[in-house]
Amino acid sequence: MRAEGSAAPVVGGAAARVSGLRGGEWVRGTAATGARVLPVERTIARHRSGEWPTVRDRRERRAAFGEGRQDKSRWHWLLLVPIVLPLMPVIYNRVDPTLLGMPFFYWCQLGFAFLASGVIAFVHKKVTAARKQGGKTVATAGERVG
Amino acid sequence: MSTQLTVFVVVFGAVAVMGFAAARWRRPDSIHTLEEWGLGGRAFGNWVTFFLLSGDVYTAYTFVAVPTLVYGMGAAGFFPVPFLVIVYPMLFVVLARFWSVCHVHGFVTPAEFVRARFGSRGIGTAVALLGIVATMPYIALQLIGMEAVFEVMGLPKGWPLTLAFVVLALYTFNSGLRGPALVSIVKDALILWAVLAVLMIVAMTPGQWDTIFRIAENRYAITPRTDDGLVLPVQSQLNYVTLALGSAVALFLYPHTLTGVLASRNRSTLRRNLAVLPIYTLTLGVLMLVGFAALYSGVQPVGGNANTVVPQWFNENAPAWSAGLAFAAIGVGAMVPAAIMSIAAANLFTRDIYRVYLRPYASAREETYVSKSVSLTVKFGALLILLLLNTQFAIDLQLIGGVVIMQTLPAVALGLYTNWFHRWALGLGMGAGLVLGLFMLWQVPKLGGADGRQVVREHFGGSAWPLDNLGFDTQAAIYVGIVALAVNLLVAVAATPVLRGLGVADGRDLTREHDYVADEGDPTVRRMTEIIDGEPVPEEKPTSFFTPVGPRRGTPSAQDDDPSRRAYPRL
Repeated sequence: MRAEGSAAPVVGGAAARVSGLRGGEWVRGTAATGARVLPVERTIARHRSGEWPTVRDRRERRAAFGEGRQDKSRWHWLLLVPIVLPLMPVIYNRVDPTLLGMPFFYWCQLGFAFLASGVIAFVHKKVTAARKQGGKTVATAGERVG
Repeated sequence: MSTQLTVFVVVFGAVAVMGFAAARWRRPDSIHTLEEWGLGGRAFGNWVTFFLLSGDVYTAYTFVAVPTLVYGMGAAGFFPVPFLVIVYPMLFVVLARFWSVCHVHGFVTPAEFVRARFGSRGIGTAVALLGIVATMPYIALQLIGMEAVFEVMGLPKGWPLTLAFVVLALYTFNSGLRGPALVSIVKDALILWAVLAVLMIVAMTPGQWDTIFRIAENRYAITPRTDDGLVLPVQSQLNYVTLALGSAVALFLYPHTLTGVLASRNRSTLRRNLAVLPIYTLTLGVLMLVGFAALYSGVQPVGGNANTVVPQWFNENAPAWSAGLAFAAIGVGAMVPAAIMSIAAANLFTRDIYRVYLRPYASAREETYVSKSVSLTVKFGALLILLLLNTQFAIDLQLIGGVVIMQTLPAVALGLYTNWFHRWALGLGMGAGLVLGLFMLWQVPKLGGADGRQVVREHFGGSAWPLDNLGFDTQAAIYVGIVALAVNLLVAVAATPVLRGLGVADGRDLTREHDYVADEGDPTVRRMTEIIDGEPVPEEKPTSFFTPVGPRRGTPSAQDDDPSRRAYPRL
């Protein structure tokens, strides 16, 4: 990635990068304050500000500060079922079997409403349970940032 | 005065009183902040959120126009059911993140979020403008729903509609979002009654659904049209699927949906509601089947207004008092979304145009006043569109509005997940999507006549873009919005690396990952007391681009003991 130009300020003649992992603690300097080095605060300039000179650095940073998506859950993939099924007319575009005289086309699509409701409720339960369990790690990560 | 009209007037009067009284409901110390007036204090629990969201999504126009579609075409008009099923699993993933980031930063509109996420005033303003443009005709459509009821009751076109709207405008002005929230409880009760009435009336017809569907099938077989029937003809399937998908995407992006969402108390409230709301789609489904029931009882629309099919069916088949309740359901069902939409549009104007360009240091009180006035203006604008221009014009505008609002997807929805997009790439994508979308809509002719193949009007005749424009030998069509959105995404994705390569400056992202998962009780989520105080958290001006905004470690200030104060500059 690009770390040149304004992205990596040079301090006092020596080509010292002020952004980087130093002594295990993530520190950052400012152009205006020269060599003044501050611990990272919660608002972080992104993109070309030089925090992520390489992909590897970014990973370290994420691990250190708990920056990855914290609400990630594999259960969310289950939500694809009630999204994809109603979008496939091949499944329900027929008259038989009828229910109470209603063609399959209509009662099947109304039935998808129950499916969606059930799947969402299930995923919600699983995600909140996982969050409660993993809440401790998230909290520690949050503390380190804040 | 007929029984129907009496029932309607009584219910409507009660609703108006409730709307005004709502200002005293959970009365805050001061209603003069946008969070109080425009979001009801951001503290609605499970039940109120359910009523508010259902009142917001299932509008009067849907209840009136969609059964009319089914009446005319059969299966192809049934797309709102899959649309309103797939939308909830989609929302489940994104809405909680949107709720969190808005609460942490005190955002009231999606445009504010975009501005902070991509560090671009321009993109924020564009999102706000597109939101307002898309919402205005939607309000006018609610009036069309109400107009259909008035027409069946034999009222003239002008003053009853104006009167109803003045009442609506006044109580929205007075109570803000609390008004529609309270009224939506009445609306849902009435809708539930209407659904039960449909089921009972059908249960009493000889042969029940069996006969109704058989008669509908015969009817579709007789007509010379080829695109109607009890199941989808092959050429309609692509349009059916893309229309359902596109409508689902658009629903998330409409500012009024997001306003309803932001009013909920916490993430779980929201997610629990999303699990229940698909069931509400069943009520819409049953009312759509009224389209078939109307074919069975040979209902003819009143005065050539096709939208009167549903009210007219109730008028002919239900007892007078019950028909009155059904009319009231549609009437009140128009009031709730119209109020929320006007509030959403007004908030967009206040937070993203007024405060950004006109008065950056407007106080909370001034903001609220501006929002209130704009909500009045917006509503009367919609009324004027309908009374001075014509109904068809409002419907066409709404069609365009749906395509327009979809173009904000990369910024608003994808923005919740990534700040990878370059701000100018987002702008380019949005522009490309809009131009292409409008051009394609312009190309679609309006078809009519007995067999539905004659060209009635050359341009802006619908949202189903025939694929034979591309030279394919087929009758299939595709929803314009989806194509425009695909192009929008392609341009945004392609332009981002190019712009970075050219060294065009990126915007600065003022959010961080933890903002997107913060929940009620999290120190970063602003407490209501602070929001009610209304004054912005004092912002430290950064000395340079690299200075972190906000208080620093090692420089303790008086606010340090209160974590919520430490959090963020108001954007």
